[in-house]
Amino acid sequence: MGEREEFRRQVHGSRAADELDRLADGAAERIDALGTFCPEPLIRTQEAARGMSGGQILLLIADDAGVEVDIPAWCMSHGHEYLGTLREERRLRVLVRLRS
Amino acid sequence: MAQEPIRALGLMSGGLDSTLAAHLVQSLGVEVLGLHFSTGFCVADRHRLLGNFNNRDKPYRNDALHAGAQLEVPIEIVDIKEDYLPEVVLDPKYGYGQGMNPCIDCRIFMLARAREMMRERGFHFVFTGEVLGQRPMSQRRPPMHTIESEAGLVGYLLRPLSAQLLEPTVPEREGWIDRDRLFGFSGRSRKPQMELAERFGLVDYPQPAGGCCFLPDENYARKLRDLLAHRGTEVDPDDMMLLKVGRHFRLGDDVKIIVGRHESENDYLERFREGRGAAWVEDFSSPLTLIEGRPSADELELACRITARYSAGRAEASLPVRWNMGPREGQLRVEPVQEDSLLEPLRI
Repeated sequence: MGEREEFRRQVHGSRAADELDRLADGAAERIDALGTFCPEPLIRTQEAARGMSGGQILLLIADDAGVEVDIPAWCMSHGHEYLGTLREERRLRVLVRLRS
Repeated sequence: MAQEPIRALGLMSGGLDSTLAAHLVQSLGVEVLGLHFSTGFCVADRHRLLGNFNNRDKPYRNDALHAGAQLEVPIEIVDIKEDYLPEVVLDPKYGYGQGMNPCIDCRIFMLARAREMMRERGFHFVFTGEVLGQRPMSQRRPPMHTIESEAGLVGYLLRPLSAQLLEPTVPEREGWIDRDRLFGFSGRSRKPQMELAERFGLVDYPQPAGGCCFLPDENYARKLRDLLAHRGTEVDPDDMMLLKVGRHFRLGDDVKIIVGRHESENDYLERFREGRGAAWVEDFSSPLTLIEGRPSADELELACRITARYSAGRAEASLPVRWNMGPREGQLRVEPVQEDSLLEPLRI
């Protein structure tokens, strides 16, 4: 994979919606941050991640549009894999696989 | 046997200086964890709550996280809202700056938290992006000494951008950090930092000196002073959040109203209705007005008249305004306030 392509994957995720849906169903941790705003969704995400094992999938449900830019950045800085975001109007489901 | 890595905690706002400091310390072989303190007074948080987008049509981002992504430095968000308000904002030992910004107490508070984390988690030292002489309140030599000392970090606080102008710290004396590779920046100009950013290949950083904190802002400070004058220290983080939006009018010693300026402010105010009264015009596009305190009948009528003034029906001779105060609710037909001479003395 080229450097640019890898970068785009890190930032935007690379999974198709149906795959993300499947991954969401099997998430080890589900964080409901609906109605909360920056930095609360991030704080809840980092708290949940502390109790999880490498390779597990974390699902964040939020309606703060900014999580779509902040979660990929958080993943890049910590070495987690940002899998992608499913959008249902204002409701976002963001998927992250924790680094091993 | 592999040598134990040197580990440092860096205070990261995501601005240019803290980003440069983190990059510099990391480039000297130190393992860095960035700490981003969430005080509840961040300007970007308000944009996020209002659902605003920036001039590139993107949601406002958390700059510290983006700096961390750029540098591949992990960032931890540290939520200090609950303690920050009573311990720093309401009663600062070293006073306020031009607004209600207790910059010295703020630095002490954050660095003391960083010191606790340093000890608990086995980090070797703490660093910041402070530049000597850059800010009038907290970045002069005497307050920088005070901050270091009161935070309990004497010798363990590295300011890599100005290090060559300051006493050598333990990390420099112990050889954990090569002092010769640190800088001697001072003063208000950001040019040296911008040149360094270019050298480091850092291109995506917020405009220098943009500021992310509401407390130095004169409009915010005026509303906060008013609140403290009327409520003393009986305030909470929700009160602080409400100072960030709307038109504020004081109708009585314990009665204040906040009038939404547009739909997204109305949505924002809606979240804070619990424990507060409200008024709005049903027949026209209308602000949501939050009512704080226990208004008299005259004060409630005035709240309704001000609400009507900012509705789309302001030119009408009279308008029905819905109101509620806890379990009590009703509708009152009022004349929208027309006279600025009545309104302006009430505006906070």
